[in-house]
Parts: sequence; C-alpha cells; structure tokens
Amino acid sequence: MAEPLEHLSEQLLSEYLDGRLNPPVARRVQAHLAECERCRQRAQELETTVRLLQALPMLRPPRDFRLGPPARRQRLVASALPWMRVTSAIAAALFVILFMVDLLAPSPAPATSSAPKIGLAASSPTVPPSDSVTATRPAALPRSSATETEQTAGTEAFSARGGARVSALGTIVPLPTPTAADQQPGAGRLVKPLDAAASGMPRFWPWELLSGLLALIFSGATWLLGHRLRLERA
Amino acid sequence: MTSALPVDALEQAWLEAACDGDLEAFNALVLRYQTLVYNLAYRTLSDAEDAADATQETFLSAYRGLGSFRGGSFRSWLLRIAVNVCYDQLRRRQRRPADSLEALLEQVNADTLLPDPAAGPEPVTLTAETAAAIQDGLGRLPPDMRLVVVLCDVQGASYEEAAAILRVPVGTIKSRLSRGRAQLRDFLALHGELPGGARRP
Repeated sequence: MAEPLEHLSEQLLSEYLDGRLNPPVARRVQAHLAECERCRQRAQELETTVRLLQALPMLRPPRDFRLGPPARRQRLVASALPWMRVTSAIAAALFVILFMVDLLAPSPAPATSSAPKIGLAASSPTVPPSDSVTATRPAALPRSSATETEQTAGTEAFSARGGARVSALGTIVPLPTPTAADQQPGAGRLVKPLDAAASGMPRFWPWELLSGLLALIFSGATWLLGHRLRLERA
Repeated sequence: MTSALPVDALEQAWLEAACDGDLEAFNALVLRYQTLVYNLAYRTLSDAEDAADATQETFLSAYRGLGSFRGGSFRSWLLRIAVNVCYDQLRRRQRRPADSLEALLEQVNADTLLPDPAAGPEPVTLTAETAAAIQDGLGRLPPDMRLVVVLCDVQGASYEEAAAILRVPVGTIKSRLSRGRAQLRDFLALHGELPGGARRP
C-alpha cells in the first residue's frame, strides 16, 4: 500500500479522537487512516495514551486542608489592605497637588503691585460717593481731582485715575486698606492674600498638613499590616 | 446518579455563607474539592509535599479572594486559583532536578488510591510502574501543555472549561492538548509502556 504524501497533523488526530471534528473533516480523517498505516499507528497510540491518562487513579490527599480560625482574621486584614492603599495614595496625591499649587501660584511679590490697583478699581463702581472719598483721600494729591469729585458723573473716571497714580507711585498698600477693609467686604477679601504673603505662609497649609499626615499614617499602617500578613503566611 | 440540583443548591448556600465570612461553610467546600485540587496539583508538580502545600495555598487564596468570585462555576474558579498556585510553585522551583522514576514509583505505592470515579466502560488497569511512567512523562512536558493535559485528560474537563480556567482561547487548548498528548505518547512508547511494542526509529 502506497503511503500518502502528507500525514495527519497531531491536532487533527487529537480532535478526531475527541469527536470534535466536523463530520466532513472526520470522514476525510477516517479515509486517510484506512489507507495510511503510519497514521493509524499514531492514532492508536494516541488513543492508548489518552486512556492511560484517564485511568490515572485519584490520589487521596495526605491531609485535611480545612482552614483554621486565623484564616478569618487574615481575610479581614487582606480585604482592608487595598482600601488602605487607595486612601494613602489619594492623600499623597492631594498633598502633592496642594504643594504644587502653592509652588506654582503667582508669588507674593508681584501680587503686591497688582492687588491694590484691582482693589481700588473694583471698589469704585459700586461704592457710594462717600466711600470713594475715603478711599482716595490719601492719594488726593492733585488739585484738579478735588473739583472733579463734586461732579457725580466723574467718580468713576477719577478713581480709576487715582488708582493708576497710586500704582505708579509704587508706595501703595497700607494706605487705602484700613478704611476700605472696614467698610467693604470686597476690598477686605482682596487684601487678605497680601497678609498671608507678608507672613510667608502658604495658602493651603492646613490642608497640606492634613493630607500629608493622612498619607503618612495610612501608608505606614498599610505597610505594617501587609508585613504582618506576609509573615503569618510564610 | 441523583439529580444534581439539590447538590448545587447546597453548594450555592455554602458559597453565600462563605462570602459573608462563614469559615465553616467554606470548610464544607474545602471538603468537597480538596481531592480534586490536590490531584491537579500532584499531577502538575509530581511531588506530594509540594502538591499539599499548593492545595493549602489554593484554599487560603480562595477564602481571601471570595469577594472577587463573580458567580459562574465555583469549580472552575477554584481550579483557576490552583493553576496559578501551581505555576508559582513551578517558577519557584526553578528547574529543580526532576524526580527519578524510582522515587515516583515509591510515592505512587505509598499513596492510598481512591477508586477512579471517571473510569469508562472499559476500565484500564494501571500497574504502579505505568502510573509512575505517565507521571514522569507529564513532568517532562512544558508546564503550559502539562496543565492542559492534566485538566482535560486526567480531570476530564472539556476544551471550553479548560479554556475558561486557563483564560486562553479554545484553539490554544486544542493545540496544547494535541502537542502534549503526542509528546507523552512518544515518551511512553520509548519506554515500552504502549502496547504494540517496537517503535519506529
């Protein structure tokens, strides 16, 4: 009997034995096996191998694998660990972000020159005439401006000019603030960063401190618990 | 065979209780599956002590990881953990010298054999020598092939179940299984364990 040029692949034989081939393919394999002595022997031996594997006895486990009470505690710890990791990561991220914001935010030095200008300009449109007078009193150097104050329509133009003059002079800050801060919440708000900047304190420091502490505490506790768990498991 | 439904309902009840932290319920599952897991580990690792360690580790991991069990077949989920533990063991072993045939033979003789529940209509009786030779041959297969052969041929899993356990496509199972079987066949033939005697060169 002449051997066919190509023999059946191992996978085809294997799937044929498992009955997992489509009927047409299975018929072709069958036809080939009828002709090819070599593939027939391979198929027979493969079948015997599978039979032997299936006949391997089930071994009785050498001991009982039921878990003792420590497993319950370990499980509690193990289930808490991921949450603790997340918490410490969030706290650490918050700390870094706040720190970066503090670092990258406009530094206090340029803020002093721009803040009072905005403060004056912002307060003037909304304030009654009496306020504009108190606010501009210290800067009321030019004579002509005093006449302009009496014209009600000229208030805005005047204070804007006055503000510009103040910043141009560069002396600025403390002069308008006490009175303006007393009477106007808006002006008070604008002055605050200057105080913080003057004392050299970062704006978010309590939150930075809190998030930093949280990150430290949680990562420390996570490490300790994880370490104990690893020791117990070993 | 009694109907499978009440048994599965019981298993479901154990599972739910175990998920709530009930250790006794989980231990009922351990009792049910420890023979299966131990045999998977033993056939994969070829060492009784390593297999016992792997079995213990499997159940500990399963108990800790019950929260990540998303329904479906508990057996497949458990075997997946067992497979991963076995892979870890094999990696840790870092090509420790393979057990000699004599040692395997000794081990097989020492272990008490359970009656084989998967025996077909024509049960093949294995001598201890043949069983040891098969175990030796299994140990020489690459781990990927070995696990598929153990799951499908020793434990009787379907291609689909093996694919789910190993998280690979069914096509991969087919090819690993056929190559593993073929290598094992050649090994057994070489050692005169296949009837038919003389082997082609």
